[in-house]
Amino acid sequence: MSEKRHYLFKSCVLGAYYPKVEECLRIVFDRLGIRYFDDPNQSSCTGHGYHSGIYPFKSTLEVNRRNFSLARDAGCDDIVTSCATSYATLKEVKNFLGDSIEVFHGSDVIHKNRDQIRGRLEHSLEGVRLVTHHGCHYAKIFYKDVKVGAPEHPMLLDEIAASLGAEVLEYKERGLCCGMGFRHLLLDQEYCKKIAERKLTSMKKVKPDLILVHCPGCLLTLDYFQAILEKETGVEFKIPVMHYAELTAMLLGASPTEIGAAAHHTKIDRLIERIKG
Amino acid sequence: MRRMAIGQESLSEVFEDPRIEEIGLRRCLQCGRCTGSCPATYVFSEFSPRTIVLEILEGRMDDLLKGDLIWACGQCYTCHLRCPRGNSPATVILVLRELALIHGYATDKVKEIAERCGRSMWERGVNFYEEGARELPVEAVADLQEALKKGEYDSFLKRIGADLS
Repeated sequence: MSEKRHYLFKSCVLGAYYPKVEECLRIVFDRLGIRYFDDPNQSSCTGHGYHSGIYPFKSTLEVNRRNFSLARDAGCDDIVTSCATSYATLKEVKNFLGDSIEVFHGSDVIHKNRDQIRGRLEHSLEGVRLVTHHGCHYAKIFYKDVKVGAPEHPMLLDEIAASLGAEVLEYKERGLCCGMGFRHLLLDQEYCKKIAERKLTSMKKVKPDLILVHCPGCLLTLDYFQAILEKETGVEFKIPVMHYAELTAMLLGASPTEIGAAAHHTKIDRLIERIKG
Repeated sequence: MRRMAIGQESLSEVFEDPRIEEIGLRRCLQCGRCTGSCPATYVFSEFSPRTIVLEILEGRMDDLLKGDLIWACGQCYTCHLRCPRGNSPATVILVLRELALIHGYATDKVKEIAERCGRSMWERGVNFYEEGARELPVEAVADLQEALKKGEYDSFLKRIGADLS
């Protein structure tokens, strides 16, 4: 990881549906004194469209050749994404272009700085029981790059959560996709509902207070489909879902308004009140 | 001129795709670990990544490109992670989806989402756009459109019948 400032790579899902969560990585970096460049000219990586199969590979290469060039013009040697699909898409493009720029996920940076974060916490997760879900596009595509835990059992979020004071729970369907399914979310959503139901049912069995996710797409899916599933199946979930940057920013003192708590479909207010005492 | 069965041209396009050179498609031993690991098979019982790979290896492309099965995959890459031969059915499926769109076989619904996301990317530089959300400044959009043209995105959109005027 470069000592220079990071090129902060913004997510299309967060920008459209959880714009305040998008700002949380900046809040965390600001509080820790981590330098970054937030470039208004950075485009989407196309990853969501690319994995939907509606975006050609050649176009994806050129769009991100431009993004790499913007990063370099800003004097950055690495890119930090808040999204697991951006992480994998940029890595794939980097490999095909033979580009030397490095690509990291925001959780890599938070994990690396977890001791410093622990020393600056305004609130702790003491007494909070949570489950984690790592993005498939973080753990399963460039699986050799999974350095914390193993590709079938990544521990990055678990170690971050434990350092924030939480009790991390295991559950059976830990490795299962969240259900987003890219083109499925954009079209008929049958896959989304069936897979999210299987995932959430497995999580519910261990009675977590919170689902900690790694990726904007997983946040959207596990947050948005809970109420829909409840309506269709009669089974209540009501388990708050938070993105790793959002949770870290909140524990470092950001207010519910700053982290965009109101954008969540499954309410997180009570959990925040409990944590903030 | 040698006559080609429908789909044979597309078959050579699959093997010429640079992404296929990186994976072990020809090394597939049909063990079925991909299908056994696949969440989409839990939802769509007729879907099998192993069978899709077999169809390609045996040269049967037509039904794959025209049918719904290649659109069932959720792109979770569990097959890619677990394949003992370094094959990546999820990547193969992405190549097939691109060919289905380019050759006009994709359904109208798929073309609609391709056009919707395409318009958002072409005009605003983001995959998704909601009122008031982030979008690129005008000058950056012009610059992005040059990159998109280099990536032949404008001709792709024309081929699928998207009207960006």
